[in-house]
Amino acid sequence: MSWAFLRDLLSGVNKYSTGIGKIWVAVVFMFRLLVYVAAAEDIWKHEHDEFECNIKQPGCENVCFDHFFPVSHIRLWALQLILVSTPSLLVVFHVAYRENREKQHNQKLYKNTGKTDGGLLCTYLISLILKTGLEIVFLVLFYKLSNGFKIPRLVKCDIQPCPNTVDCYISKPTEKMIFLYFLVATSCLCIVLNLSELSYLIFKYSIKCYLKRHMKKQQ
Amino acid sequence: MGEWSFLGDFLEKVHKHSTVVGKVWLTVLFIFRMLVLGTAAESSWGDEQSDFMCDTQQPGCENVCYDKAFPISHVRFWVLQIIFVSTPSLVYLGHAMHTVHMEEKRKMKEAELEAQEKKNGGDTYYQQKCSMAEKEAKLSGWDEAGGQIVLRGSLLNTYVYSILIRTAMEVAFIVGQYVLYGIFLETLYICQRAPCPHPVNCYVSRPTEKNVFIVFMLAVAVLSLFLSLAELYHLGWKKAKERCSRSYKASPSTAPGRLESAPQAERAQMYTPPPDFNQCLSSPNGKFISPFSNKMASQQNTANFATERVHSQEDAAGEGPFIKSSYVESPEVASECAAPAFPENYFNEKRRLSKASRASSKARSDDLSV
Repeated sequence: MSWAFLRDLLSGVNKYSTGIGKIWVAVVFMFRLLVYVAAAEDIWKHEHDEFECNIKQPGCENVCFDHFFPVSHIRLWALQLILVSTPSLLVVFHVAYRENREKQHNQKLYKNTGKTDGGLLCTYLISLILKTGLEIVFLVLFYKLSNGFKIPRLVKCDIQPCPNTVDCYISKPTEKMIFLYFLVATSCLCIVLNLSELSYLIFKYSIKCYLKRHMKKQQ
Repeated sequence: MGEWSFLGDFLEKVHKHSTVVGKVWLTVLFIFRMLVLGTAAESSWGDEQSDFMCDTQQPGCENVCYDKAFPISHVRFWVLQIIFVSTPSLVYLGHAMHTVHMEEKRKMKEAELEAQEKKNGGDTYYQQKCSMAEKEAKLSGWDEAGGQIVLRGSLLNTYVYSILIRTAMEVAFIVGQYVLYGIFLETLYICQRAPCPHPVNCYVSRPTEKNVFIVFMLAVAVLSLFLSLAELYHLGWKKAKERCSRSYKASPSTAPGRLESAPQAERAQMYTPPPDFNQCLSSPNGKFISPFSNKMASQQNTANFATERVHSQEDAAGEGPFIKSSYVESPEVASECAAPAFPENYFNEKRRLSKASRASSKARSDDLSV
């Protein structure tokens, strides 16, 4: 499975985005998707094999690894990328729906099917809110999973069948932490971009509405 | 290697809007950094932890010693380096796309206005608006004649800033690599960290092969840095010449009825070459008015126009005078900017065409395509 599918989808979304939306797509591609595919995947590739406990008891390493990593960071990262990009598809679907309607009725129903106004604006705003919400949810999940964005070198484990409290060593903790911070930073950047786009659109259209009403009153 | 296509697509667009040195830099980035990293370096570092051997049976000692020896792997470091060094170019691309988009909007508005004015009958107001809009367009770096992006004004500023930031990033990463690892990797790493019971000998896997790649990547980074500095130097000259031509425009040559003659004079000036830097220095007044007289200008205008048309029809190896980005395509496609993209040094082309130019034209290097 390749990420080119997501890339093509997002390129389609780019057409109907505002300027800030295009910056968001560029950030997602460059700083999240590319870093994930080119760098991060390799770091977590052999995390289970390289996880070592100071014990010969069979099964102890397995249960300890499972306890400390219920979901691997890298899988959560991939899920985050997919789910955070998906709300943008709502906009693409809405535009396709508009174009379909125009075809069915064989007449020009909309001034411009791709312009964000009316219903499409609502869809766009909803997609922004969903994206922001999902980003925050995933940040909270990462926080809970890594106990405050920390990846220690040594963890102590005393789960059955480990006979006593056992020292377990996580592989590449420094590198994993660097990329975890990178993930958090890019997530926060995307949240900021989404919120600024949201406020920009709301401000722009409320000014438009206000001016229209003002003109009507004058007339 | 497939993963780099994400970045590759963006950078190909930047390729169209860059100077010659910028294109060389991009080629170096693609071939010597991305390609080498994606194919050779990654497989060389593939078994870096599994083959990192420590002379101890203590469980966990190898893990902690590997973590101490390599806080971040070379390969990941280079990936981040490539991403951060490419980012300023993408900011410039955004600005270039924005310029194209604004121009399309302006053209559409002008067309609407023209249609309206034709209905109403008067066209002086339209002309005035046109001239104002053209002044704006010129400042933002848009050439009316060929529908192309010219590297000047705010676009040139963005380009220069992007190169400055790129240079800073390059330096930061080179220094960072030196601070983290020095230049060469040693075969033996002596590690003392809990739970290792005593200082332990750890052996790095494939140190010689890794050293070859480290030196190679370092050399390519230094080469990229050098290319960025060369481009800055080249653009520094360009800016000086732009300032010369602007200061020349400000000098008295205006006629009454300025508003109407101004757009024409400015259009003429757009087609006439900027003065030689030497001319700016040697003749402080008067003498360099002559290349810019209206008669010369209109002759130059026709010559340039014809040449531009010919050049725009030439194919791939064609040499347009400007960094090209066609705006005639539809708005959605325009962001892709699929135009014959073989920019040439703007100044060189002008010097070749100018009758007033005293300097010989430089030999033009072949454009590099990625």
